Amino acid sequence: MRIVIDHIARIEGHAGFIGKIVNGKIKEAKIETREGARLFESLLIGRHYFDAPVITARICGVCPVIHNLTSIKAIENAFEIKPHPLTVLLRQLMLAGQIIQSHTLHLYFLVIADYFKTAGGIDFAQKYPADAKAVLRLRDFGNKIIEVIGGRSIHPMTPEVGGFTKLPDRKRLENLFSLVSENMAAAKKLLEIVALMPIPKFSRPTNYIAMYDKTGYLSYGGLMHSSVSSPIAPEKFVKIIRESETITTPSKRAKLHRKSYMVGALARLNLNFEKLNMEAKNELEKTETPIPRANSFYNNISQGVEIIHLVEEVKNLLERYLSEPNSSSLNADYKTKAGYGVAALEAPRGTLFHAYGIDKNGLITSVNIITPTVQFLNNLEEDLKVWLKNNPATDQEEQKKQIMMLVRAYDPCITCATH
Amino acid sequence: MPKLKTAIISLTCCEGCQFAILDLGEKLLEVAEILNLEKFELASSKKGLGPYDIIFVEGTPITKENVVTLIKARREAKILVALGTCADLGGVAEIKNYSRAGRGKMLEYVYKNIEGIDNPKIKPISVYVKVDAKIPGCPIEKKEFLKFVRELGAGKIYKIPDIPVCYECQLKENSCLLQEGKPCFGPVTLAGCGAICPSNNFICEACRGPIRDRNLTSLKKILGKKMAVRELMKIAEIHGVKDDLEKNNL
Repeated sequence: MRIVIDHIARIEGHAGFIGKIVNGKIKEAKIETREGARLFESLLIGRHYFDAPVITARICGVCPVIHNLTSIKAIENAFEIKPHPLTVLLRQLMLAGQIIQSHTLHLYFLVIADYFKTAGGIDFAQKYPADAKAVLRLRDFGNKIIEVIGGRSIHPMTPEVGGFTKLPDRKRLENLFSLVSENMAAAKKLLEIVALMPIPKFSRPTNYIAMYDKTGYLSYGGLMHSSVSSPIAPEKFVKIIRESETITTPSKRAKLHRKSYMVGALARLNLNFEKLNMEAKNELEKTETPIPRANSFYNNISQGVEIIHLVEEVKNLLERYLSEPNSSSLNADYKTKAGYGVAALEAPRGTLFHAYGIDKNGLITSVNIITPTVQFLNNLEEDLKVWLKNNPATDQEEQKKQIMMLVRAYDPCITCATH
Repeated sequence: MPKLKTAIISLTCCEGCQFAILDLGEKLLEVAEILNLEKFELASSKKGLGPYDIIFVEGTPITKENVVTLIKARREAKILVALGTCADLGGVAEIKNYSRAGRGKMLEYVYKNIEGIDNPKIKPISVYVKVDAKIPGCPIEKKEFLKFVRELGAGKIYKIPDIPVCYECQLKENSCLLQEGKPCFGPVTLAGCGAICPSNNFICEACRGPIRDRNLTSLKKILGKKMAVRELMKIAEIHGVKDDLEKNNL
């Protein structure tokens, strides 16, 4: 039997699914990406490093901030620049805004419809206006944080190597601070809605991987932690990831020691939930879900918990920034020099890596970008195989719906996968 | 007036312009009063069938399927709108058109196995099909999209006034980056973005494309003392507008 889904709606980018079942055995369960080859890595070769954060932001319209900042961090590593602590703090705020808006988008516009019998978020808003309003404002809050600091929510322009082209207006930061409590309420409401969704029975333990250090739950640096092996530095991790190509599509897939692994909200929560802020921990407990979880559908709840964590984090970070005296510039002094730099940051969907070789004139000589979706596509396909094996079809349409629900739980970003 | 039957479709790109539409948040409900979003696959599993009153096309055709989708969209649409820089001018993907290494070498840099991967020269969608209107920018300005939709509601197609980014920049009383010797493309670029980049102390990289009477020669002359013209025009490659800027320049 063949299962073919031409287009999986409500995911970021274009992808389909092909499954093959022979005598009850799952022969194939493939995600077929349908984006054209975009060649971002070679677009940068020979260009000035200044262009890298600007161009790589355009890899993805939902997570441009993380590409922009990871690119900057990698170049700073190549030049051995140590950014000002307040620069790092502002970047952390942007990352928080990025994950809040991306997770909210995923849960609200892409996932909810599977469980509440609507076609999507706009439909949901017309049916449940009050809940929808709060959640849309929450997403707006994430976007506003990025906008106030980065200049614009999609493809921000103020972050640059060494610091910012322009520092945020303090009044606007104070305004963001005043919005924290209503958005904390909205974040809790969203988790409540997500927790109402029945979680399909499923279990397949895998290797969960996330970057963090002792400073907190979503840190600006740290080591790559794994649920099955000891932590290693991101620059070492990049060397042992093996990317492979498929014959049919221009998106790659990664393996670690020949095995698939998972990155993203569920991986982070499984590995590092003790570091969650208080409110997030409390709300997580209320959902009564065990930890660690080997059910990928829990990625949705994990995202909901992370939003609560991050709204509290935004409050803490803003408090710290606003307690510091005004400064006209925080930019680090630096000189362009030949070098090689790797950086990792936790993106909404998992750890993102950028690596650049740069010559003495500041021109880029080599580029390697490894996105979260590239890293978890293999894991998703293995999940799908187990899912299909455990849930023989009684109804073809229902089976397709379930496949799409599992795919959506991963929150794949096909445009990132086809960078 | 009955709602306009609408599709928002996407070719190869970052999909940031669709996200800009979603970023309208509560105002999306106003959009939904004017447009009947029958097909918006990023946010909805509704599968509307054509023909449509209006189709917004985001992205650039890279695969053969992209080209087929675009041509089919033209057949199905009374009004076809290019959404964002990729559709309007080529966007970041067009950088490869200007590469000295050549497209083939660039493909080989990323993929070992290049068989069957489409790698065409990047062209704006208007090269493939007739385009009735555009909403430019990387990404589009969400307020401009809303304005466009409101005008549609009044039975009109919004046309962006042909004035340069400098005009909006001066209204904001920003200090002039060009006068500081920075390679800002504000004087030759179509306004409507509220000079958002220069307002953030970041040069205009011409993502919205050229104004009709662009004076590139004078821009080159001003900046020629600071940098090689080749370096200046490399900036115009970023959004794929170098060829558009140089075409019929004053």
